[in-house]
Amino acid sequence: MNKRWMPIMAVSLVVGLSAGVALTFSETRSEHRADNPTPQVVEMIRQPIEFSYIRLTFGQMIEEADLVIVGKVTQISATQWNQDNGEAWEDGPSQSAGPDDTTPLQIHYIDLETEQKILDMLDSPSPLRVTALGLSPAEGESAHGLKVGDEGVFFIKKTDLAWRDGKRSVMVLVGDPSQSYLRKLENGYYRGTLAQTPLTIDQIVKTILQRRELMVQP
Amino acid sequence: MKINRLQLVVAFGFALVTALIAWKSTRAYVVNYTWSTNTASFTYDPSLPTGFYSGVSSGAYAWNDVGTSSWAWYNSPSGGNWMKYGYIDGNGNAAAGMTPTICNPGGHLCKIEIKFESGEYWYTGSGTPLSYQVDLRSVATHEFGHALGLGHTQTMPNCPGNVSDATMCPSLPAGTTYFRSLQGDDRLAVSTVYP
Repeated sequence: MNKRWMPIMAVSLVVGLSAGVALTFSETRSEHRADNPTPQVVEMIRQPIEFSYIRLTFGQMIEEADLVIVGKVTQISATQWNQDNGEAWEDGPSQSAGPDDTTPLQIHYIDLETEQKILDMLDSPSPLRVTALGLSPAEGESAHGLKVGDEGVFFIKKTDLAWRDGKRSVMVLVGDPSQSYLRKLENGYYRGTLAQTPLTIDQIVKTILQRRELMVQP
Repeated sequence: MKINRLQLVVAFGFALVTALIAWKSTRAYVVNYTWSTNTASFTYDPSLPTGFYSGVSSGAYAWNDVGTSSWAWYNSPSGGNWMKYGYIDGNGNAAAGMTPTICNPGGHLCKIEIKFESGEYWYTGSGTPLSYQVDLRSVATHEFGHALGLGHTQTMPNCPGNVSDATMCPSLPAGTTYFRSLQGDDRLAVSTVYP
């Protein structure tokens, strides 16, 4: 670079950083809240439930899964609630000590078409339906980040989900939903947040089978 | 030194890009809703084991200790923002959930409820959990961040999956205590929303 440019770039850098800091603080001021006077008629609206998830390693995900498939998302349902008619419901404070198992939850369904089963402890059908917590991508930001047409390797397990009249046996994505699959890339490789190096399907199959084999050795 | 028009344009563009990068790199937090006040209470539901009280309150009070924010959680026997314990989806998936309610007119948070998953292997102490245990203090701190109206932190570079993870990152490995301590992005969030 020509030496004549150096002082100009240095000045620009200082100006830019100052502007960035100024923008940050101006935003701080603009986000101050207005006082909220006591309303006469109050409408209470429940918002989407925010979940926190257990993060697993890639190895733990392989160990936890009952089913690992290569597949494609064919359909994602709208958001509904965990009762048979899907309508919203709520509960009040518990009346007695001990776990309160009546848990209203927003859920949606992800339908997957299976192209290849890598591991199947469930004798699973195809297409298969996975239940996910929280908002459907049709209505907001989903925890899994999937959309119809996405292809990948999906790690799934069977569990009980809280249901209004008890529990319901469902299939769910393992652990943190955003980390429970390896997305298929345009070049045919697969990559996920827990396996960031792109892998071929053969490498994935080999890793999974080796890990599962280790689990059953004495 | 003589500056031509091209140099001015390039310098302006460089300054603009630098400003945007500096601005964006200071924040990754997400604000979904806000309370209209700088304080709110929480109440232990009968379902919550008494052994959880210390860990839950520790998670709440972590947000009170940010010097640049006036926010204060306080425990009340009759507040209505329930801390519950019960079944969600079993071990190893969702560890807890926070249900926010907003009130109109105003559109501010007016009620929250946090439920801790009874199917998890919880660690309720202040030391180090075993590798398969989920740290209650960490999860409680995260959930009270949601209860302030914060969403999940945009994952990179603030959620590399180690001790420098922001408390509001989406997930926590079992056996770790990363979320107990607020990171810069969490402190910036609460200071910005509740100065």
